[in-house]
Amino acid sequence: MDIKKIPVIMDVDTGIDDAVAIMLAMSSDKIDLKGITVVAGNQTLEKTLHNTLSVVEYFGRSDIPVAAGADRPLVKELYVDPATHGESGLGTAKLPQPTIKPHALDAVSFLRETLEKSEDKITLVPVAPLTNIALLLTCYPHVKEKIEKIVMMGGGAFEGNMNAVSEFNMFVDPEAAQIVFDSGVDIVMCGLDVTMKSYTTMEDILALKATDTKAGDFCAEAFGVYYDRYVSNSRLPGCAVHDAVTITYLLHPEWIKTEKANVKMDIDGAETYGQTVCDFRPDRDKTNDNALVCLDIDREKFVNLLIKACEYYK
Amino acid sequence: MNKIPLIIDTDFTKDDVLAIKMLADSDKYDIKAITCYGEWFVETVQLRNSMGLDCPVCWGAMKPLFRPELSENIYGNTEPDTAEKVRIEEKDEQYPWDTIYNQAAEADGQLEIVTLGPVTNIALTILRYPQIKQKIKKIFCFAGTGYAGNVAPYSEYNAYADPDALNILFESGIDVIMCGLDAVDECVLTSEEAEEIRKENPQIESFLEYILCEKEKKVSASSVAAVCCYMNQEQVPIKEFYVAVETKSRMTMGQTVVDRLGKYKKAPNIKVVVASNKKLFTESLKNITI
Repeated sequence: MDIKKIPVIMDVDTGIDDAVAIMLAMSSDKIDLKGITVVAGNQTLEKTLHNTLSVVEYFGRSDIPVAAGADRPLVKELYVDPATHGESGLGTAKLPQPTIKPHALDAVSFLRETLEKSEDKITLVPVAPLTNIALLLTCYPHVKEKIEKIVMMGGGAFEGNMNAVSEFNMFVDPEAAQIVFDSGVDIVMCGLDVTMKSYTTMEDILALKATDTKAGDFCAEAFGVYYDRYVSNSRLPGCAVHDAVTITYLLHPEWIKTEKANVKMDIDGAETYGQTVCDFRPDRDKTNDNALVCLDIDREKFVNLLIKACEYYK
Repeated sequence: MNKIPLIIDTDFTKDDVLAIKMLADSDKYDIKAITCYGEWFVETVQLRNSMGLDCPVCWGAMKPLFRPELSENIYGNTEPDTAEKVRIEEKDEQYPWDTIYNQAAEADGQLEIVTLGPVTNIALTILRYPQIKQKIKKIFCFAGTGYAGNVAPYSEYNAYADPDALNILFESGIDVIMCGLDAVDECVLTSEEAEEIRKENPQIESFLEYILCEKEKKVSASSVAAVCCYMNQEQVPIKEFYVAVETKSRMTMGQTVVDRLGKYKKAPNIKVVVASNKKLFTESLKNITI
């Protein structure tokens, strides 16, 4: 049977869980990964670009264009997170130096051109601060009609990780997030409500390693300090693989519990700057609903999907 | 003499027409594009055509960067269908940020920009093309105030309308001249003064009518006054200060905080036109040919 693949462009700040999400997307025969754009976030742009090129080449997909984007948020100073992702951005994993080069176009131009030329609508999957996507939607609003939807990792209806209310990708560039939520494009928000339930325990990590593939080895290596930090800092019995939830949603939306909402980004609050304000109230004006907010996931199936993805790289 | 390559960014408030005509009429400038903020694109195209200018008109931002449109709608409304038709006729696929970037590259560091409205298009250019900062010679902004405001006690309209955009411009390191209310607030004509100018320069009669402030029987043409300052920079007092833009406060949103005493101990980032020159303004009105 000829399955129509889902055309996708990812936007990443690679990042340990970004790398796993890319690995997962490239392992699927249901996803047509048309390109990856890169932004500063988990680490500086120089490092996230380097890491993305490394990951793509390591997993044998040097054919996928990788385009460099914004090296800082729209308004705020860049905030990077070496404590979670390590100085390199890939934790304790060591990948070979990439030999491939970034695409000649910058990320926004690449997104614009790919969308303009595509006959099918493309799904954008940002798992990073939304700087590139906000610039695309503001500077070239005509491409919105070519965007199927935006399936993003970021935010949290009832949970933050940078403070009580703000999730990292939103915290790094709240102004960009506001532009994206106000853009009129349909959004699937994979925030902390679902991604903190999408964790891998030590047992799971050993199962990934046991696939005896370069993907399994990579996960086991990369999750080293990342896992320790999660287990010691948070209430989880494992490390959250946030960014991989977006790709999981594309492949198996039926595993994820969602709820419609009107989501806005707060950029004015003294305490709530960077919070995704999700309005679920039954009596809200539902004509303003702009997002499906993911709230829960079948974790066992999620982990099995990661294991199967690793097996693909045999 | 080489002409100065110039881009004009306008929100087409009613005195902008005369201001743009003054710039187009001068042989000092080579107008490379007119970029629009807000809904007056069609009128701007018509103005460009009426002046016989050969430059693109670019349809730009329709709202502030991060905030909803201001409730007090001072803009008129072009029928969306008409606007779309003119836009297609223009065959102008370029947005302001692309045009400004390309013109800056072509002008080899000589491009100047005059802004007459909120600076959203300029901020988007800086965000889209961060490398442009070194390629623009000067941006002359009709925006802000060092003392009193107009839409709020300390806020001037163009700054207030998109303070985030002005903040991005002011922090960019580009050579910016802020020509705000301090530089134009005395450039208001009484009916008698307007009559005198009308006598000397009957050509601009229709414009004086156009910009006459009915309520106060005064002619207010603040963007004209600002453009007079731009065209005669050597005749207006300009001082350098550190200037911050307030983007959070509900009370002082859009205030351009001019650190006259150097209290912040920060290097000056903005050149500020610190006083009006009414004589320059009235003489310009008397001498303009359109």
